[in-house]
Amino acid sequence: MHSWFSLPVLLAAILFVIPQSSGAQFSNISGGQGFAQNESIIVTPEFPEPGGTVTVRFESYGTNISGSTIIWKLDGVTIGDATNRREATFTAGALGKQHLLEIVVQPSGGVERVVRAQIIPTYIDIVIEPQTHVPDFYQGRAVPSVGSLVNATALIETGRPVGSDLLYTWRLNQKALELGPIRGNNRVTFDATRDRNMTLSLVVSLPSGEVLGRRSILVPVVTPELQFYETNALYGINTYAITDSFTMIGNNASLLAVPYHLDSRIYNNPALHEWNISGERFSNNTNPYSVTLGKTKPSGRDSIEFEVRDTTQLLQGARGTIQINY
Amino acid sequence: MKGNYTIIFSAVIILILLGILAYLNFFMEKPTDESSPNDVFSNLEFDALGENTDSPVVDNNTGLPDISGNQPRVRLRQLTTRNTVGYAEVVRSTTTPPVVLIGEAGVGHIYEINLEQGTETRIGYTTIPDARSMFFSNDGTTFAVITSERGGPGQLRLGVLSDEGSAALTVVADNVTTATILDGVLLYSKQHNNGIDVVERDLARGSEKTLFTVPFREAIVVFGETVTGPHVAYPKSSQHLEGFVYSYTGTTRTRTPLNGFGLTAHLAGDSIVGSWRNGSELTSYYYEGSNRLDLASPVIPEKCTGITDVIVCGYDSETTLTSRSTDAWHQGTARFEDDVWLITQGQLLQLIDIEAESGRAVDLISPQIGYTTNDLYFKNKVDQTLWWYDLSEDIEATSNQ
Repeated sequence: MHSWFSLPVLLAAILFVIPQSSGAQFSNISGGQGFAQNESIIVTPEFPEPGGTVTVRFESYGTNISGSTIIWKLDGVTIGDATNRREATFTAGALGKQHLLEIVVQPSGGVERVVRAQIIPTYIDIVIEPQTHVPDFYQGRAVPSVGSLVNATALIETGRPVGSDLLYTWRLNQKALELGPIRGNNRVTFDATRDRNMTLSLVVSLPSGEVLGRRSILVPVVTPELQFYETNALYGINTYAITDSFTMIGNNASLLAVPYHLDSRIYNNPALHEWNISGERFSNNTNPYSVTLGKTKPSGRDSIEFEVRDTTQLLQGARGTIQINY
Repeated sequence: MKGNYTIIFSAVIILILLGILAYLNFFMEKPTDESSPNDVFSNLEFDALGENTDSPVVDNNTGLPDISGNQPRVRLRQLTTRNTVGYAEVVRSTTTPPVVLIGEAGVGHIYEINLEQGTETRIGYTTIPDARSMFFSNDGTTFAVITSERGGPGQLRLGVLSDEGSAALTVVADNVTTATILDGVLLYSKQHNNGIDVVERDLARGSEKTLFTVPFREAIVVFGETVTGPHVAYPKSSQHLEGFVYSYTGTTRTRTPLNGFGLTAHLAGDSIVGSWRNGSELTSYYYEGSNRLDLASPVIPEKCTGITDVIVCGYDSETTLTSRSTDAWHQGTARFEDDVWLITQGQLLQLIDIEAESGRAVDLISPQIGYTTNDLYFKNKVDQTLWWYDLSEDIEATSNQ
């Protein structure tokens, strides 16, 4: 059936320990019985989603564990098929459930050591809302384009009460946004870079410093594109785009050029906007994106082109052409 | 001589005819049948000549299903040729069959479609320019309309239909993305800078309160079947961006385990039908309770509706849906020629080939199942007309399984 519901097993990580440079790595310092400082558990992802797949790796540096028996326990129950393995995969449990993972190392003739990690499934969602143009009727989302503003909103669900006074630390391509952590504000706005994909990272923590979750996502940057639509005074926009050619049935027709994912600031105040109908160029200063065509000949065809562009950021622009048949 | 006989014969005939006329005028009894008081013709008792064997001429061309059993049952019908911005099956009383109310695009006129007679009667005469979407109460007396010049969020107004067909409109809110009327309560979603407020307005009292707030602005809100929910909200879909489905019951938000790129979701009864990108492909799912089942074939969720155990979708089996299909369909660069399909245990089962049955290609949107669960209504995105399909046999077959 459905793995992430019917296989709710374990996990979550975080040693009662000191996270080292990589946030996903934990080494045990409170083993109780013997332990080695240079043994650690690496959990990927560090903060798994409920029902998500978690990979756990047991790292041992400078300690000879060959010949040792390695026993994996999750919430006190031995995981049989993981015995003597250095890596295991689990399915995280429900939201907020605190799983205790223990790795028991039994050297032949030596002292038993235990390395522990705590894993708490958590949702950290980042909703991206670019400030680029899409038409009102479009039920999809705008996508960032070079130089456009992008809003990001973080929504965290831990399954336990954590309050709203959280610290949000955002990084874009490894550079801190807002000059560091923002307290109690889960939103951030940044400019889209020239990269094809931007890496946006977030760490959410309590004021005490306890990290509740981390998340990194890729945010794509696309090139704006143009579509043409017919408009009707009574019914508004025909929501099917004119993809290639348009046949004029009556004596006139109104067309709308719609740039998708163009920076909203440029859409609202374009430096260059130009229609080209069979070689004749003109601009409509009332509504730059609209044109009303009259039938100029009983039959035949014309080419219609529209271009909108920013003169300082040339990647902020779109051009399109369709044929009109009489 | 011969001429005299002719004159005499003619005179006799004329006298006989005059005699008959005088008899009819002065001695014949007038009909006493009160049921035909306007009948000024005499009864010439032609019936006495024998039984009339001519078949009565009856116009059976109503376009409705023939239930006499003489002809194949019609199970698919276009209900109107009008560009429809909203519709609802309305039950005025328990003794009258349901009717369908529609709102006409651009002008907001309201029509009532009698499903038995196939007639369309205008019942709302108030012109509402730029009507984009319309919602009706269960009894059809109250309606809400969103007006918007360009098809986006707009002004929400509330109207009550009078017997004369006029409607006094009350402005409720601006920047409204969608609405519904459930059990005497108007629910609407209002966009603001930081998100979307879903507001509950008691129609009897006129009081309002915010039911819940979606903490991001570019959200699709799908209302459930009761005021308290569950309702569903998710960020608008894009193949390039990740989406997450949140369920709202009352004021409580719950993150469902549904997230993915290009994610869309639609409530179908108690379940959620959705889709997301899977590499270059599109995968669809069915989620109920806490169980998710991937469908054998991808569908566009906005083409689906359902009640308990019955999910039906518009689906074009001849077009392969890819990760780009949802965006392209929203953009209007892709068009589908749908048929009606039933989703059962993750499989899709074709119920009717719309084009073969009607000769029309339908890009199916806005499906709804009627109160009796025997009727499926949907619109054709191509011309925004309203259609009807008889689900009764399919429902019966499903319940017998």
